[in-house]
Amino acid sequence: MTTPPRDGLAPDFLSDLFRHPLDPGYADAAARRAEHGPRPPWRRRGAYGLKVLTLVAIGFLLAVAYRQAVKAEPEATRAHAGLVGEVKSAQTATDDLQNQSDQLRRQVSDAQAAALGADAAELRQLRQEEAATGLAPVTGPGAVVRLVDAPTPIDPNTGRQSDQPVNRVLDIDLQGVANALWASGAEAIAINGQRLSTLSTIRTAGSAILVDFRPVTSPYEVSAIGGPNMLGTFNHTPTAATMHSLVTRYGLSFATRSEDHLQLPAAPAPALLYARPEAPR
Amino acid sequence: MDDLRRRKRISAAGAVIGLLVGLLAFALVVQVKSNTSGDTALANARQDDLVRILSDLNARELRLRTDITQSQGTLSQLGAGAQGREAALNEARRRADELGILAGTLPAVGQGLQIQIVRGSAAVPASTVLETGEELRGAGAEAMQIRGSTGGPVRIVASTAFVDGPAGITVDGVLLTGSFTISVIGPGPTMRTALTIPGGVSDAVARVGGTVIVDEPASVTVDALHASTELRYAKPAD
Amino acid sequence: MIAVLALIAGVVAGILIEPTVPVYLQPYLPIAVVAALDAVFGGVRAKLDKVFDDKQFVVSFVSNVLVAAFIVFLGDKLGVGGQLSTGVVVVLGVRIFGNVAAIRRHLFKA
Repeated sequence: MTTPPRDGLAPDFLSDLFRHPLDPGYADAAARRAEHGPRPPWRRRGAYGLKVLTLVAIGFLLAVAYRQAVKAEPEATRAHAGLVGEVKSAQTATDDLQNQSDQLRRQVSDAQAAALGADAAELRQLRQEEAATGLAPVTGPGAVVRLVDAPTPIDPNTGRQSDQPVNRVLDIDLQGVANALWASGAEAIAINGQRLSTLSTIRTAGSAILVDFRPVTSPYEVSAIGGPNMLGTFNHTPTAATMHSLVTRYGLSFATRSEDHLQLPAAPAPALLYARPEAPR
Repeated sequence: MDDLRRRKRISAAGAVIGLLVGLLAFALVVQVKSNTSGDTALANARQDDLVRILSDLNARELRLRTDITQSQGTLSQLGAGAQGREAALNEARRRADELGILAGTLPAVGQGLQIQIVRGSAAVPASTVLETGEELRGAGAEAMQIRGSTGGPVRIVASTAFVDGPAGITVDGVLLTGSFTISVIGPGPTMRTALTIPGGVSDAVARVGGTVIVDEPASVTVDALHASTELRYAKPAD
Repeated sequence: MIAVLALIAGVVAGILIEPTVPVYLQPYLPIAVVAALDAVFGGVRAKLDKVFDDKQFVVSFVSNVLVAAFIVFLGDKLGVGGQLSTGVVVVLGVRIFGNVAAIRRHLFKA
C-alpha cells in the first residue's frame, strides 16, 4: 500500500497484510505530528471526545452481541443435551430388556417344545423356523447397506442449519432395499436394529420412518445376513441402480459394505388376532 | 554448577513442553472420538424427533416388560402341576401354530379380503405389489398369498421378494403374469382403507391403467405353503 | 484510563439496557464485533508503539464496521454471502493476530 517495495519486488496485498497489520494511518499521523507539531487544542479535544464515544459504542456493541449470542442458545442446548442423554439411557435400558426378553422367549420356546414331546431334531427345526421368521435373534456374516438423508443446508450468515426442506430417504427406498436384499438371498434383515418379520411394516409417519411402528432415523443401516454372493447380486439389482440415481439427483448417501459378524435381534413377539390354522392340530 | 542449573532449567522447560504436548494429544483424541462416535445422529436430531423417539422407547420398554413377565409366567406354568401344565400345553400348541402360520408352513383361515389387481394395458410393476403388501401389513395383515392369471399361488412371508419379470412379476422365484389376486387375512375394513388412501396403492395401479377390486368374503383361506427354509448363514444366536 | 472506563461504561450500558436487536441486523452483529476488535487491538498496539492517534482510531473503527457490514450485505445480495463473510473474517483475524503478537512482544519481551 504505502510501504516502498523491498528488494525491488512490489509487495502484494497478502504479504503486506501479514507483515503490517497495523493501520498505516497511525504511522502517518505520528509522522505528521513530528513534522507540524501537535494539532490545535479544539481539534484534539474533538478527536478525544469522539474516541471516548467510540469506546463506549464498542463496549455496548460487545455486550449486545454477547447477549444476542447467548440468549437463544443455552436454554435450547441444555434442554437438547438433556433430552439426548435421556434418549441414550432409555436406549440402553431397552436394549438390556430386549436381551432379557429374547433369552426368556428362547427358554419358553424350548420348554414348550419339550412339553409337546419334541425331540432334538424337531427342536432344531423349530429354532430354524423361528430364526427364519424373525422371531429369534440370529448371527452370521452378511452385509450392511447404509442410507443417509441429504445434509441440511447451512445458512451462510448464522452458521446454523437453515429451515429449508431436506431431501430425505423415504420408506419406499427402505422397502425397495430390503426387497432387493431378500431377492439377493438374504436370510435375515434388520433396519437400525429392528428385525423384519412376516408382520413387519416400513412406513412413513410425518417426517419419520417407522419400522414396526418404531421410529428409525437417518442414517439408516439395513443389515442383512447372507452368503458371500449376496452383496454382489444386490449391487446389480435395479433397486441399487435406482439408489445410485437418487444419490446424484438428491444428494442422499448410499453405501454398502460386507460384515463378517452381524447380530440381529428378534422382532417383537407376535399376537395373531385373525388368522388361525385351517385344520385344528 | 552452571551445567547442573542449565540441566535443571532445561528439564523444567522440557517438562512444561511435554505437559502441553500431552494435553494437545489428549484433546485431539477426545475430539476425534467424539466426532466419529455414532452419537452424531442423536446430537443433530431435532427436538420433536427426540421427544417422539423417547416416548416410543418408553412404550417399547413397557411392552418388553410385559413380554418378560408373560414369559416368566409361562415358564412357571410349564413347571407347575397338572392344571397349569394343561394350560401351558395349549399355549404351546397355539404358539407353534402361530409360528407355522407366520413361516408359511401351515395353511390359515380367518376373516380378511380378496384383492384383485386387474391388469390394464401395462403390467403392474413389482414395486406396486411390494407397496400393496406393505400397506396391508401396516393395516394388520397376518397371512397373505398371491396368484396371477398364470402362476401361483405363492405364500407371502417375511423373506418374500417381488421382482419385475418378463410380462409380469417374479415372487420368490415363481413367475406370475396377468392380473393378480391377493388373499389376505386380517382386519377387513382397516386393510380396505389402507388400499384406498390417496397417493397409495389404488392410485399407483390406476397409473398403469389397472384397477383394484376389493372383496370381503365371510372367510378367507390362505393355503399356499412356503417351503421350510434352510438357513445356511444365519444361525440362531445364543 | 478514561479509555478503559469508557469501554466498561459501554459494556455496562449494553448489559443494563438489554436492547432487542432487530432481525435484519442480527446477521451483521458477529462481523461488527470482529471489526470492532480489530480496531481496538490496532489502537492498543499503536499506543504501545507510541504512534496512537485519536482520530485514526475513530476512523478505523467506523470504517472497519461499515465496510465489513457492507461486504457481507453485498455478498448476500450476490449469493456469495458465506464466502465473502469468511473472507472478511479471515482478513480481520489475521490483523488481530498480528497486532496481538506485537502487543505480546511489547508486554513480555517474548
